[in-house]
Amino acid sequence: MRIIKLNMVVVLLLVLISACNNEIVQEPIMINSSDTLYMPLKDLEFEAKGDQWEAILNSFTQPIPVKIRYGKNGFHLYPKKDHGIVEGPGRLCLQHGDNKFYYKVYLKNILPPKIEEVDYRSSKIINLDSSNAQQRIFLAVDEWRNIVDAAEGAELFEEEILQLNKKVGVYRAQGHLALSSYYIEPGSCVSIPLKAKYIDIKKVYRIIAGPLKDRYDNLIADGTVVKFICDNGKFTNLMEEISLNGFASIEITAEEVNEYSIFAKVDDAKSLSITLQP
Amino acid sequence: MILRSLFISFVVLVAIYLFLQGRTINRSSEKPVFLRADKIAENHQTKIDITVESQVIPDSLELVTLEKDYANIWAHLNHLYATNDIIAGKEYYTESWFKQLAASYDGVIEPVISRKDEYHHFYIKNWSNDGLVCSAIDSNAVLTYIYPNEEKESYKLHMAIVLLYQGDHWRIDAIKVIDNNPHLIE
Repeated sequence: MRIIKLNMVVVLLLVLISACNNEIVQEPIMINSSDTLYMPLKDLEFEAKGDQWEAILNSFTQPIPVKIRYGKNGFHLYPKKDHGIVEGPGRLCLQHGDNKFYYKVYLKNILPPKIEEVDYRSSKIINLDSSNAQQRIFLAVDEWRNIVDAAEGAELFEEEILQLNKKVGVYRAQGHLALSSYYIEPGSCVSIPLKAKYIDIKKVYRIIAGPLKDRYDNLIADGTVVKFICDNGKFTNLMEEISLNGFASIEITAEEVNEYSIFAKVDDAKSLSITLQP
Repeated sequence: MILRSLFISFVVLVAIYLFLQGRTINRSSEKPVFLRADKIAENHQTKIDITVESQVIPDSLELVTLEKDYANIWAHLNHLYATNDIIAGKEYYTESWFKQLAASYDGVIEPVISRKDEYHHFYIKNWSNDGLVCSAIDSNAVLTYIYPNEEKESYKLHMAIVLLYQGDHWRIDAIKVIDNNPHLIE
């Protein structure tokens, strides 16, 4: 009875020892070994034994999914997705059970990627009263967000101060990209032509100020307040109107007119006076 | 009596309707960014020296924000490197950067090799007038790779980086590892 118990203990111990004994696997050999791998991977071949390998390929930023196909003498690695990566130092880890093997590689993109020139402008709103200068920072990036040389021998980042044209409008730093828009806004009014005409049907005089322009011949901003100052020798009346498309107008009933002298004013700018007579 | 019963029934029906309607409203489980605790960023430590070489000089407050956000960006880049978890750090990625990460996304993995950033010397090359664009060279950055057997390797390398200030953070938009052969230091 004792001998049977002893035998059972020995058998149990042997089973435990064999379970603890890890299988030793030989390191796979990279065929056509190279320090640089080009993405997407094209048939990266390894000579290895066994068929339960796992592969993890880390680019500089993240793990890249790869799949394994087994062959006669080992296996081949293929990309799961055909696209580029952020180039830089990477690590390939091949795993079989508890055995892990690491390969230091440098990862580059094989296909010439689409290169986009990026043009950052500051400030985005230019008011012609202050300055027409604009800062431009520009660089080139590929579709996988690798910064690339914009031109042979050029710096990675370039910067310059642009003197923009003085024509009001919405412009784009990059023609295809609405987000790159910047705005040139008109300056203050410097020129106020003023005229009056009698409208017989309504029996009124219409006083028209415009076109109101800044010093670069741009129409002033819509919504600018235009003051009309009317003086009949006894009283001075002030009327205000906002400009639209460079014009502002008021109407004065004709019977009220008794040699009014009228001029218009926008901030510091004044028009010449005109006289309305019955 | 009948009218009273009808009125009570109507009120009960309205109450049940409102209760059921309230239950069907989908409430977003994701808190806004300012209410979330970023454990990955909080548990991250690195050393960053900043040198300003740009024509436009950022003020001290802007530099403090930049240093904090750059450290957080690396916290998330390291987490991404180990796990491929592209969502955790999305607050620190621009849309273009996120898109290129998503192209290589095939699910989150168990970390095998992890990475720590020990040091950065951040040379600001360009700073936009409006404080929304920063291009820089991260010189002599020290990155340590940690293998599952606790073996470590530290490398010194140079990178060009473009950061954009969007929302509440500086976000990484583009990068270039300048050395083809990073220098092993340990």
